[in-house]
Order: sequence, then C-alpha cells, then structure tokens
Amino acid sequence: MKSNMMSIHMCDDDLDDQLLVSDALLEAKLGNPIDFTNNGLELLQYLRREGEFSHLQGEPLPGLILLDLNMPIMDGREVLNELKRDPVFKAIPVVILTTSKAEEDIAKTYNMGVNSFIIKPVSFDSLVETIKSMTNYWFHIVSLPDNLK
Amino acid sequence: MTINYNRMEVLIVEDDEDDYILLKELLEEAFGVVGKIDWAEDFSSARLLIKQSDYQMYFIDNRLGAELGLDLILSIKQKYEIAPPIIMLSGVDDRRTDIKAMNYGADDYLIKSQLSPLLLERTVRYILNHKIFEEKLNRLAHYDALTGLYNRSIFNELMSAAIEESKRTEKAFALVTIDLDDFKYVNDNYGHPAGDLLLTKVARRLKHSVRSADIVARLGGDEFSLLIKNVENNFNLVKIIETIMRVFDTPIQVRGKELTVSISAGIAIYPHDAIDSRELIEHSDRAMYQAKDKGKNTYSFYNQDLHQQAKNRHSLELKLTAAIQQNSLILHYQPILTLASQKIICFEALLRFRDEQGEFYNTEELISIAEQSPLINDLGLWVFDAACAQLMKWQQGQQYSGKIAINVSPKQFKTSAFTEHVLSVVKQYPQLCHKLIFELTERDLLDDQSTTIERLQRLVDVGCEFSLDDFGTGHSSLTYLRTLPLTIIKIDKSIVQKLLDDPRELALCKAIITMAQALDIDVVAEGIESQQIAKLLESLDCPQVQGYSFARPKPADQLEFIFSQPPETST
Repeated sequence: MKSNMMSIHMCDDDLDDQLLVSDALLEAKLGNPIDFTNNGLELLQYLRREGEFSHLQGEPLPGLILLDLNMPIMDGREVLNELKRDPVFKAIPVVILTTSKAEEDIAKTYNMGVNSFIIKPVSFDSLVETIKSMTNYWFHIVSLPDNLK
Repeated sequence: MTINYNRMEVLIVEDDEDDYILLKELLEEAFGVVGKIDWAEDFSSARLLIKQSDYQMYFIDNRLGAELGLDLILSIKQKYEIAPPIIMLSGVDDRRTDIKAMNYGADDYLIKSQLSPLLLERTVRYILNHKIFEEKLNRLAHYDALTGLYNRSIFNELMSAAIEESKRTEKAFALVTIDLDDFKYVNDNYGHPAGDLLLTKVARRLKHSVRSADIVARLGGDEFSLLIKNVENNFNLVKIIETIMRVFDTPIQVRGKELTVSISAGIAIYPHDAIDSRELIEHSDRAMYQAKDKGKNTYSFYNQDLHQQAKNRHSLELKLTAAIQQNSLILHYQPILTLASQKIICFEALLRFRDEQGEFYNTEELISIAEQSPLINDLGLWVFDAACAQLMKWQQGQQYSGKIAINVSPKQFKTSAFTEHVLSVVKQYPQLCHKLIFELTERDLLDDQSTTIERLQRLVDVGCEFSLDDFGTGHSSLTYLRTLPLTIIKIDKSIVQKLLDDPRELALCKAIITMAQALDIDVVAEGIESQQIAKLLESLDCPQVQGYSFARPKPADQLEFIFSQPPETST
C-alpha cells in the first residue's frame, strides 16, 4: 500500500515547524511522504509545477496541504484565495495551522472556505497525536476525488 | 473506536490447508477487506516469513508436525519493541498450553472449534486497544513527552550500554551536557507555554544536528544531553560540537516572536576523562559550568589542554577554506639543479599561507589538517592550477622552459577527480606535456594500491612524471620503487645534512644513488645548506640537488633575476 500513499505538503516559513511536523509523521509511523514550501507564492509554484518545481511535472498532487497563516511574500490567507479559485487545486483538503485559539477565531472571520483548523500543539507528543488523527481523518474517512488519488 | 483493517497484513501459520481456508474466510467475514493474508504451512517457512516480512497480526496453530507454534512467538517478540497481536490456535482446549502461550507473550489462545467472526472481531479489537495503551506506557517510560527526545531514565541506560560498547569496540564516545543560556528569561517574559514551545524547537535542532546513531535526550528543564558515538579524534569531535553550536545562529520563532537562543556545552570523553558513567556525567557537567563561566554561548572540554590543540586546528581549517576561496594562498618556487652544470631543470612549487600578522603558517601542519577532510582536494586543485598558470607565464615570456614539481597528497588519488582534472588541463594546454612532476611523500602512501597506480599511470601516459619525496624518512619501501611509475627519488634532508658527520648516513646515501642508477631513476638530494656537502655529493655522482646553498624558495616575482643570472653559489 505504501507505493500509492498520499503525500502531504506543508507550507510554513518556520523551518523548526517543518522539522517538527516531519519528525512527528515519522513518529506516528505514517510514512506519508512530506515536502515543504516556505510561503504562499512558492506553494502556488509548487502546485503548478513551475519554476524550481518544474521537475515535478506529472507527479501526483499532494493529498493534503498544511498551511501556516503568517508568512512573508504571500501569506496563508492570500494563497488560499488563489487555491479556492482554481478548479483542480480547490479539491485538495487544506488544514490551517494556527498558533492560538484567538488566531483561529480571527482567521474564521475571513471565511476562507476551509473549516479545518489546527492549533499547533506545544508538545511533541500531542503533535504526534494530532497528526495521527488528522491524517487518519483525511486519508481514510473522507473520500477524495479520483484525480487526487 | 474505528479501526481500518484494509491495510492490515496477516500471517496464518497452519499445517492443515482446510483449517487455513476456514480461518481466512472467518477473518474476511469479521473484518471485511483485509490488506493481505499470507499462509505458512510449516514451522520453517513460518520462521522465514516472520524474519523477512512485517505483519500486523499473527495467527499461529500450535501443532505444526513435530514442532510447536509456541516456539515462533519469541521470534516475533524479538523483532519489535511492542509486538503486533499474536493469537495462538489449538484444536483442543489444553490449559497447560494456554498458560504457556500467555507466558511466552501470546495475546490470546483460541480454540478452533469455537471460532466465529464475532469472536475474532471482538478479540482483535480488545487486543489492539491494549496495544495502544501499551505503546503509550512505553513512550512515557522512555521518552520526554514535551520534546519527543529520550528521557533521563532511558538515557542513563543508553549511556551504560555505550560504555559497554566502547569497552568492546575500543572506540571512544563523548557525553555532551547542554544547558540553554538565560532560559529563565524566556519563561519570565513570555510565559511557560512559550518556554515549552522553545524547548521543543531546540530539541528538533539538536536532534538534527547530529548523526542518526548519536543519542539526544532531555534530562529535564532546559538541560539536554547528547552521546556522540565513535569519536575517532578530538579534531572531528570539535567539528561536531561546532556544528551543534551553529544550529542556534538563526533565531527561533515562538508565537510570532524571534528569540535568539544560545547554549553552553560541556564535553567529557569516555574512556579518557572518566572510568564510569557517574564520573563521566560529573566531568561533563563541570565542563558545562566552565563554559557558562567563560561567558556562555560556548563549549568547554573537561580536558582543556588536549582540546585546545583540536580547536586551533579547527580554526586553521576554517581559515584555510576561506583562503582557497579568496585565492589568498601563495606559492614559492625553489629550483632543482643539475649538480654538474648547475643548470636549473625544475622548480618545486611550495605552498605558503600567511596569518593576519603576516607570519607564515607551518605548511606541513596545513597539509595534515587539509588531509583530514575533503579540503585536501580543493587545496590540491588550487596548487596545481596556480603552478601550471605560473609555468605557462614563464613559458610565454620565454624566461623558463624547464619543468615544475607539484606536491600532491596520496589522498588526492583516492577519487578520480584530481586525475581527471590534470588530464583535462594537459589536454587543453599541450605545452604542459612533459613539464609536470608530481611529488608524493612516502609517508602514509597509497593504501588502495591497484586503483591508485592505475590513476598514476594514466598521468604518466600523458607525459607527467612522479617523484618520491622525503625518501629515507618513512618505510623507504622497495615495493614502491618497483610498483609505482617513479622517475625520481628525493633523498630527505635529514640524511643529506648528516653526510659529513655520520658514516652510516653516507653509506646509505651512496647505496640509494647506486640503486637508483640501476633502476634508471633520477636522484635529487634535498636540503643542501653547505658547499662541503655539495662537493661530497658531487663525488658520489649525485645527479641533482636542491637546497638553500643553491637557492631559497622565493615568490615568482622575485625569481625573475635568476633567469638572467647564473645561480647563487655563495657559502
């Protein structure tokens, strides 16, 4: 089953958070491949397989995007607007990573078309648990359109 | 609880095919789609499958011809920290086997005649629930929940294991005790959740700054410990520690704020600094407090003297790397002459590197530092390119048409990169053909002889020559003379300078010259510093000489006069 395991993409400018999530994935024994971009603009290029990502042409799109809100160049809110306007990308589930409940509340008021928010947990163990439940939810329970499988 | 069975892979060990098919059908009825069901029909094929593959569940019939399924339990248990569910099956309800299976570590014991989809589903669900609980307990016992690193109790066990391993393998390891500088300030000013978040991020950076075999633990608070395994020498250890210190150069983001973090580290090495783990911890702690005293954001070794040297070497390596990049190294050139006619036939290119005060570093020390890292390759290429450029400049100006000798390290022949570079340069500039001599020292020469000789031979084929430097100081192996494509040997100055005083050195020198003549190899006597020695060498028929008595090494711009004048013949 591993060969067609869906990949996860994380868009976050904090390299420490990238390390945390990839280590937590390993710890959760999920084995889903994960890759990263550092801001919204890079994420768009990555999904469109443009620029430095042109070598990914033809590779399947990620099955899940973890999106940070506060990033330089193009923040999470802006890129999400772009994604939701795109006929293909809008089908990819997006989970917004926030640092606090307050940030989540603010984000919700923008009506960004997602309802999955996750507050970045403080401890590594709770991050592992979060990742476990999150990936289980998206990869097993929700059925995705065929072009993403 | 929802469990997804569609990825689950199951192994059934059962010597009766009918029973296997029955169980398979029951499983499918109980769980719906199952990822895969493998069948082993005897003990030995079961052993093999257990060894080679990973399953998420095992069903084992106890009666397997002459063997017992019970004996397979241990092989499964050995593979995992927490083994997947193992369910024993039996035709008869035998209490003794039941108890035995439990003691061996089976998760349940079921009687074949009583099996039903409902029973199977319920049994498996309960077992899995226990496994999740077991895994949590296991994590709590071994890991620090905040950072996911090892905790203190398991770290102490791992250190004891490292001591045993070190005794067995005779390899040293280092205990590094790390404390964050001014962590209290973060807690006081940003609150404990921010402090905790900082610690998880610090933990990730530490974990990723060392090799995967090394061990990283959080002992509590802002105190971390590392075990760095297989420490070959202090020099490499300093590099590892420097890498750890540098991962904190970039600030850490905590709740939208960038916090600058630094650490103080103390290092003690087993077995050099301590006889047991208690002493090792004590000494590493003491070194950490020394680092704090030195003003934080630094590291300190328990044994200072030993490591000052390693630190100096490390800083020299950094300077040398920068010098190569900035092209601030220089070459000096010392002539090699024929003794009879005093004609310059070659210039030996010698590496020089000045420190900030303008003093020259010891070249041998530079080379030995470079040889311990890939730096030697960059350095070797720089020297080669610079020497070739100089020679071609002289050729163009019609000042000098002789050869140039370039020192090379045997390490440069470990890969093909240097050889390929020389080949392409000679191809591009045919005027270098038959003008290049590579000087190899016989110290620590050539371990992987056949590939090395092949590389040397490829250079000989395009007109390069090889000279064996410092002959008489190392093994002076006759095998080298026979197997390497050498055309020149250089008698070391330690022999040459004693010629007048020590008849044994004189005899040795005579013998080398005679032997070389017989092998059709040229001889250069190095380090000639007086006319008497020059005369003596003339009487021995030594063909070529090099030394202060004839000319000192000079930068290229100070050599111009030599080309228009006969060589110095003073003192």
